[in-house]
Amino acid sequence: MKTIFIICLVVNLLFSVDAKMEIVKTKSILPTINVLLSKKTDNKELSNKLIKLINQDLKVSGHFNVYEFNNDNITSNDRLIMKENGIDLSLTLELTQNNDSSILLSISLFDLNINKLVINTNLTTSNKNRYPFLSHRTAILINDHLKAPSIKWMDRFVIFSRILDSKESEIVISDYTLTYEKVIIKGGFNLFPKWSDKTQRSFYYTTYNKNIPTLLKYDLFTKKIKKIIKSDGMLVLSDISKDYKKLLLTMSPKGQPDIYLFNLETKYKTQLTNYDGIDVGANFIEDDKKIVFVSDRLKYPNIFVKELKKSGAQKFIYHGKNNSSLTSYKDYIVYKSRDIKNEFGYSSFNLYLVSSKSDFMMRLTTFGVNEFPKFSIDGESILFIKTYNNKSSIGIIRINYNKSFLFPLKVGRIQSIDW
Amino acid sequence: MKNCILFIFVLFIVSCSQNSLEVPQTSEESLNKIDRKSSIDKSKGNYLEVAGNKEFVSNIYFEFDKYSLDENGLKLIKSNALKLLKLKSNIKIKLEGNSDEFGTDEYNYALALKRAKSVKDILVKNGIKASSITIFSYGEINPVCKDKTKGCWSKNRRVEHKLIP
Repeated sequence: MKTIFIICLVVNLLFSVDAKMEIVKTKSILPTINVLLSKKTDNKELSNKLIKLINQDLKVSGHFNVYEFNNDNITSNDRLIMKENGIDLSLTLELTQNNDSSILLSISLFDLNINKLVINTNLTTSNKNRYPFLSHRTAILINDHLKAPSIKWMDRFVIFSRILDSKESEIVISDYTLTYEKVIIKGGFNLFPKWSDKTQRSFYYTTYNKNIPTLLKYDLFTKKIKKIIKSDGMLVLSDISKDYKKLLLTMSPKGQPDIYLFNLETKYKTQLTNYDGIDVGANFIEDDKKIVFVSDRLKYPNIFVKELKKSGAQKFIYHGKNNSSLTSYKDYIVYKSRDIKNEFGYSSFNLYLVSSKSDFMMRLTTFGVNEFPKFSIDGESILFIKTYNNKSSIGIIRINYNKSFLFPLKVGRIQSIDW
Repeated sequence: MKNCILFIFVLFIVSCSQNSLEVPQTSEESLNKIDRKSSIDKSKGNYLEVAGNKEFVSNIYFEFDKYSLDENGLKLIKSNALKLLKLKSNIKIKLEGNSDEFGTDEYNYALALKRAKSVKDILVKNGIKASSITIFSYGEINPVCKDKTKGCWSKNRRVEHKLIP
């Protein structure tokens, strides 16, 4: 009997040891990469800007440790020094600038662990001002080579409206760091731009150039403008359905701001909310069967949820006394919430991530005024604007990697942004 | 002829003496007259052409995050209504709602619109035809001042009146 008991005890202890070892094994290790400039590169100033951006892109991806040498004399031939510093991959860049303002970027990636050149290719652009996109495409190339989760969103455009002066704004497209900028619409009062679909070939925006707010669609390639709908008082497009056929609008045809669903094919509009106060900023969730929106029906801005085919709305967020500025991706919502009582002086507005299917809630920022959150097309990143000590930055939160990055905002005050 | 000249002379003397009666004798009297009529702060409203005269129509101001009117606001709208009632029927009144910079732009657009609607509702109660009023929202992008102070933010939370011929 005693012997059987001892044998059982020993076997039990062995299983316990195995369970602990399983937990330790799941920690991941990131490859270390460094980026160097070839001695034969043209335009050292532009080349250095490129290196800085590529280092940034690789860090933002969350898939690399970036090693930046302090010594400019290190070259791609110093592989022994690199190995001693624990570097796994060495990227060498060579920029060739042509007379017609086009540039060619030669990329060589050497894998120090297998002692082999694994990428040797060229990327080009016809306009040197577009160099940020060369950086993003380089980072995507290296990322794809390692078969890491996709970061193709880095090569997409951000669109925003910027206030120049009272009643004057312009619409701009840029890369995700806002380093490259191109003004698309200038002059007058043009606001709330939103990409019409994932191709980013056209976008919607509201114009106030005439007395009646009107929603227009602009084709970037043909420069053609199409009128969609107009409304007295105010008109804002807040979200588009997954099939790109229905729009969620805040309109006020009778001077009362409510949420409407507009069908682009039938041109039929359905009033979704009917409340005497403020209902704005609706976003689709749960396979476009429900909407979340901002309303003051509890006498302060808060988030509510409503099924499309039913009347009545329910309170969605039970935390905070001033919740607004929504973005959604599938069943997830990010919103802005005021964290400090005093609305003047050093206000703190932070971003929160919640799920519509569970009690999950996570605070994404900790200080400053954080607003305009937007999910990336794959739902893995959030773009936002942070203002702190009178300085504004554009921020990227990589949700699955628990990291966030800030890039300085150059000029103007952003009115609205879409990714 | 002599009587006529005498009559005119007497009239002249009387009118001068009447004018001289209106001239205050002391600084205290002058200041009493000045203080009786309050000065117009041109930044708090607009001069509008109403029935051939320039009438000052006051802006209406609001508390933070509110579109309801206080006692002072109601009084000012009533006073504005009395002036605007003299407008010709083909002239429309445009109420422009504005907000301060706090909150999201979309919410501020709606808040500014609700402010314009609140003013419209009271103007209509005071006799202005609803069909002669249009409401419009600028949200936060039409500030009158850009300082980061409470005073400046309160100036931006307003409804202005314009005329559309």
